[in-house]
Amino acid sequence: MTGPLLEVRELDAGYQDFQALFGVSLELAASETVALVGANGAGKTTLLMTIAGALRPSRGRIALDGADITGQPDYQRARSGVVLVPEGRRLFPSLTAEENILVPATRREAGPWTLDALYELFPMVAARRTHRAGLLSGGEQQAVAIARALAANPRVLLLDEVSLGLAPAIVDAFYGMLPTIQASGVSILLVEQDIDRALAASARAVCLLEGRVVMSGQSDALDRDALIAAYFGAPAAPPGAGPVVTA
Amino acid sequence: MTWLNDVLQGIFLGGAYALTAVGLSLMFGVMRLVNLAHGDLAVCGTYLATTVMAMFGVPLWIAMLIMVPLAFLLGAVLQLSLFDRALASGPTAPLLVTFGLSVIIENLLQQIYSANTRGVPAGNLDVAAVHLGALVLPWLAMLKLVLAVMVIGGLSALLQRTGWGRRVRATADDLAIARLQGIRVRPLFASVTGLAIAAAALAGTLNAVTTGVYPTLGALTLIFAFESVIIGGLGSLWGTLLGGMLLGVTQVVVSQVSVPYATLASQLLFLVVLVVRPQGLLGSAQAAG
Repeated sequence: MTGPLLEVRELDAGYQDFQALFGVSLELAASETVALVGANGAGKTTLLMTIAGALRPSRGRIALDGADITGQPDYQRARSGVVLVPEGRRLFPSLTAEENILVPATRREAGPWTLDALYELFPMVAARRTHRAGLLSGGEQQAVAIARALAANPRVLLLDEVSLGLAPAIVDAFYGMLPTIQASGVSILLVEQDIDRALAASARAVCLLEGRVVMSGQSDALDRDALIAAYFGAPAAPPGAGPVVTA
Repeated sequence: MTWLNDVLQGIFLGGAYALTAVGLSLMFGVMRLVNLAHGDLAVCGTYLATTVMAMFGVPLWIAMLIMVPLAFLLGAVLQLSLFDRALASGPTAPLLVTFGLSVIIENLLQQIYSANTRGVPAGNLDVAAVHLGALVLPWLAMLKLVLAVMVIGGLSALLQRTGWGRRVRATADDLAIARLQGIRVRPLFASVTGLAIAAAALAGTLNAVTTGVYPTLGALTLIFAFESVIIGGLGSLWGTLLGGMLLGVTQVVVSQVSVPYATLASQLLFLVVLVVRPQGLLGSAQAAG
C-alpha cells in the first residue's frame, strides 16, 4: 500500500442552494497529521462533514485506502474507520460519559483503543465516567468527544476545532496527546483557528479560502506571512488567481 | 371506605391507560413522532386477536401470544415504509401521515368487520374479582396494571441497561451525530415502533374484553393515551404511568358524584397540567421547549 490513506479529489459540496466547497483536493498519509486552516466560512467544517459522510458531495471522490467511499452511507463511514469529533463536541447529553464512549464501541473495528486504554489517556474522563455528559465541563466534554471517536478505533480522525472555548492549559494538554494518538496508527485531519498551534501540531497544512484550497505545504516550511495572506484572502493571494504554493 | 375503593379503581383504570399510552410515549420520546394512528393500531391488534380466536378456535391468551408478535411486525413495517419517510419530510409530515393512516385503518376495519361492536370472549375474566372488605380487586384490571408496570419496567431496563437502549437514547439525543458514530437508525427505529405497537395492541385487546371493540374506538383510545403521556411528561415512561393513574383516579372519583362530569373532569385535569406544568409531571423543561 503506497498511496495515501485518505484521498479527497475535486470535491464540490454544500447545503441545498449554497455551495461551500469548490474542487477541493487533499491527501492524508497513514499516521500523518494534516492541519486545515482558514477563516470562518472558508469551508473547513463542511469539508470534515463531507469526509465523515454527513454531507453528500455533488461532485468529486473520497477514497479510503484506495477504496471509493464517496457514496457510502453515514453510519457505514465510522465503521470503515473515518470518525469525526464534531465542532461544539455534540455529545449525547443524556448519556453518561462512559455510555457516550460505548456508543461506537459496539460496532467497531478491533484496535488499540479499549475502554481501559482510553481511560489511561484521559484520566479526567475515568473520574467522571458515571456523570451525564451534559453536566460535564467544556474540557471534560471535549475529552469525552475525542475518547468517543477513538473508541471506534478509527484510521482517520477528523478533529473540528477541539480547542474552541477551552482554557489554554487544557488545549495544551489535548495537543500534547496528539502524538500518542498518531503513534497508535491514526491519521489526523485537524481544523484549528490558531495558525501557530495548527502548524506546530501538523506535518503538512492546507489553507482554505471561500471553499477553495489556496495554499498547502510542509508545516515547518510554510511562509507564515504568505499563509496569513492566504488565510484572509489578502490581495497578494486572491482566491483562485493568486500564487498557489504547493510543496 | 367507598372513596378508597374509588381511588383503587381509578388506579386500575390508570394502569390500563398507561399500558395503552406507553408506546405513544416511547415513539415520541425517541423519534419526536406523534402517532395519531396509535389508538387505531391498538384496535387493529384487538380485531386481529378476535380473528385468530375465530379462525383457530383458541382461547384469548393463545390468540394474544400470536397477535402481539404480529403487531410488532406491523409496527416495524409501518416505520420502515411510512414513518421514516414522514420524519425526513419536516415536522408536519408525521402528523398528516399518521392522521391519514388513522382514517384508512378505521375505514378498512368498517369494511372488513362492519361498524357493529364485537365482544372479546374471555370466559368470566371481565367480571371475576377478589373482594377484600369494601375493596374490589377485579382480576382483569389487576392484570392490566401488572402488565403496565412490567412493560414500562421492561422497556426502562432495556433502554438503560442494554446496548440497544444506549443506541436508542443516543439517537434520541442527536440523530445526525448518532449516524456518524456508526448507528444504523432505520432498524433501530423499526424496533422501537414495533415494541410501541405491540404494547398498544396488547392493551387494546385487554381493554376490549370489558368494552367490546368497534372500528372507531381508536380515536377515543388515542385521547386518553395522549393525555396520559402529556400529564406524565413527554419522554418519561414512568411519567406516563403516573399520568394514566391521575387521569383514572380523577375519572372514577368524579363519576361517583356525577357520571357526565367524569370525562369533563379528566379533560380539566389535562388542561390544568398544560397551564401549570406544560412539561408534564416527570418531564424535563427541555422536552417541552
